[in-house]
Amino acid sequence: MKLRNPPLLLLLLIACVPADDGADDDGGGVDRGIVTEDQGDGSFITVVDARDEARWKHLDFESRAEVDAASPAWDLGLLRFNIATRVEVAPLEGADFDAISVAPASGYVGDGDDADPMDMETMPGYAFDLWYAYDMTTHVLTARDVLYVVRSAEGNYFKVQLLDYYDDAGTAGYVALRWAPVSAPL
Amino acid sequence: MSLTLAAPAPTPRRPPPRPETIDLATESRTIVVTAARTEQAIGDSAVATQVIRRAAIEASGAENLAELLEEQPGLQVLRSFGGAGGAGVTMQGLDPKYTLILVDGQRATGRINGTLDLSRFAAEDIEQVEIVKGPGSALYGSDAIAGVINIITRKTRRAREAEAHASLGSFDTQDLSARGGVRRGRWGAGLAAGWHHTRGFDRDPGDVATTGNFQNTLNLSQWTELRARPDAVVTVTADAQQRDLRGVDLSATGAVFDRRNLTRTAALTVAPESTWAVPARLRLTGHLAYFDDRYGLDQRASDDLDESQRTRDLLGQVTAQYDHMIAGRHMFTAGIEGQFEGLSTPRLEQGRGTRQRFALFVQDEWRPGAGRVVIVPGGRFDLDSQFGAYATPRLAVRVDPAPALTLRASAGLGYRAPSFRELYLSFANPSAGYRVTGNPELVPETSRGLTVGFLVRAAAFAQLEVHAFANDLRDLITLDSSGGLGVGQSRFSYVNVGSARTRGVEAVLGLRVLRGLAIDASYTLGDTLDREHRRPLPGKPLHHGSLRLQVQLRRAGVQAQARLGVQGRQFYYADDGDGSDSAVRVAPYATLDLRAAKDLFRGRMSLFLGVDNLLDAGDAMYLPLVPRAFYGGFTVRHRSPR
Repeated sequence: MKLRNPPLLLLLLIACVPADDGADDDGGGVDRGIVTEDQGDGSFITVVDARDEARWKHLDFESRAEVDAASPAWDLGLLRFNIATRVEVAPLEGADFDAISVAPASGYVGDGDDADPMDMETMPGYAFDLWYAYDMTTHVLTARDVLYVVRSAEGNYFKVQLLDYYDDAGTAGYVALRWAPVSAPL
Repeated sequence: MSLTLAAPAPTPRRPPPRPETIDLATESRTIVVTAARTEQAIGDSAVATQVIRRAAIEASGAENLAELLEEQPGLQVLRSFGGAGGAGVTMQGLDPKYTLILVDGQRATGRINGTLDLSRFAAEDIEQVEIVKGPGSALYGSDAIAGVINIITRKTRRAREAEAHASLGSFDTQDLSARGGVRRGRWGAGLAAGWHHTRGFDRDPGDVATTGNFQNTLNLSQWTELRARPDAVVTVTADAQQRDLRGVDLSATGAVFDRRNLTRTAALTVAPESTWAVPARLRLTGHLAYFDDRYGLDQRASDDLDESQRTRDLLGQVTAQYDHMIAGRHMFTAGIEGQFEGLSTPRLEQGRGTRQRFALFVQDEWRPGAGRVVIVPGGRFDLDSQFGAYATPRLAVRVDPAPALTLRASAGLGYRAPSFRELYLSFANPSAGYRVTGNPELVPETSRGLTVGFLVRAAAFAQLEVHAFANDLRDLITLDSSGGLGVGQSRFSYVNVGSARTRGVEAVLGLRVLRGLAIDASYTLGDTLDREHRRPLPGKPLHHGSLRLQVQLRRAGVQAQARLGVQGRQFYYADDGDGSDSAVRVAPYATLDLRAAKDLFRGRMSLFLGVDNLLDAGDAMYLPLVPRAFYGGFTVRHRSPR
């Protein structure tokens, strides 16, 4: 039995075994922005990549796309699960998306003056505060059954239903919403 | 062979003959080192030591330390959920982080979340495992609150030794190992290699997640001893290992991850030792251990949540220990220890951390009078670059009022230094919506421990050992919410607020009433209390028992073993989201393992066959036990005469 330099030998042997980190390219990782899909029934489904913890994404219903923060056109701002708005919103608990075709005449609220997602309040004062339910055990967030009617920056009315906070791969931060224009209050 | 310093009558240090797993008298002569940091016969030790010898390791069929320890009285092996953390041992009702794991007296590295994965230690390299329950910080420093487990690696005892072992089992489990050694007049050497593979298992086929990891492990080790002069010997040990663990995790949001840990460890120990006729001995030890873990999470259908983290830990330790017998009554031990540890992981705020620790320890094993009383005062003083100074005294007393009765008591302080993680972690999990930060202001967790017990022998056929233990832990480091209860905004940090106690009684009965039959039974009552939340500690059963029957038909070369383990109900706690928790009760369960072995060609070959967890206990949620698993294989060995 030859044991001329066993410790070194062992270390060399171990060092020679190749290793890879096992992460292949499945796509993703990059910012997917705001993507809107026409449902063909007059409604749209928009998915907002709101994963960034520091940068708000701004959605404009009229252009169905992301707009700059400085743009006067934006209606909803999204950052993670926070949804800010600078227009007015009427939450309709339990209302059926398809049944609403005319905006309500009253019940509109706006964000509180001190709304700030960083202040660690459970209720930061957004008009959209209650769009989700949160399971503290699993940390899973689910959309509540609330239909929001939004009076947009341009004065148009839209009904908005929040659908999900996760994409198909289970990643948090992808806010999905279904929306459609509705008539102004009679 | 090194000199035995235990007084009054030095017990000859001879390797136990084979096969002799079931002889109480032989067991009491087994040499142990952990309780006093010097060799002594287990029957002479002032502090009770539980020992698992090589023959018992082979008889158990265990392929690694985790499988071996789960068969021991008073120990519980917990496998982590989701698999990445490995298997840790619970002792005296305390979590794995409170038990110090040593390899040949040297601190093992690579704790992840406080748990050192015991399945990492392959059985083929283990000569003996010594378990000392109760505070051991007086000799070993940090982490030895619940106790110390010392793995004694195998050495070559004969002129020529060779062994090969192969076992195949359920879940594509393959355990292959080989070792060989030579011993000539002044030197001896041994080399061992092992390959261990398993496909893993899934306790819940209803989802895509797996329960037990796919695993490939390759380990190599060597041992060399050179006796330069009759009174001077140098030992060099080195080992290296690569493990590849894989599993599939499923998050609550539906994200599926392929998880992989590629872990490499290597260790080198050089220990020159000199003895004098006094008797006295000086032993120097230089030890270097390296741990490198690459952790990868690959999200299916996306790369958004992919993670890749590399953790490297380098531990260097230099120890000088001097043992001196004074007037035949005082076995005096003193030592100094210097330790350096460097950790690099992306989860630390600075990306890396280093710490140095300097320690002094002393112990006197004093045998006044006729040797029926042993009094062992000892203590250790640690100076750590992170938290300053800490002293841990211990007093152990042993009295033998009659030849058949031994009384033992020991009381001491213990501590666990805050880990790098607890001090400097900076970790955000945006998908689960929380953030954890370390706290550099943490102080060590401290404990006061007391163990009192007796051992009564009825000739060579029965032995009952009973001991009661109590541990009082303060300044426990727990995760505390530091604001933001809203979704995704939970912030946690480590704080020294916890307080807990554990107390209980452990009884171990050994019966050798019939020739060739060994009966061992144990019962542990472990009462735990988390004072902060006024409830039992999670995952700690109040009752825990085991029964082992071993039959040995020497002439036929047949050995059979049945082992039953019973765990009482235990509790886990789920956060209800409103600041309160609800208890989840895990029902009592039993595990039954059977094994039979047949020696052929005068013991040169053994065939074995067995089944573990015959009752198929376990579930995916709280008891990720390996399901019922069959295995079989052989060991061939060659041993020259001494």
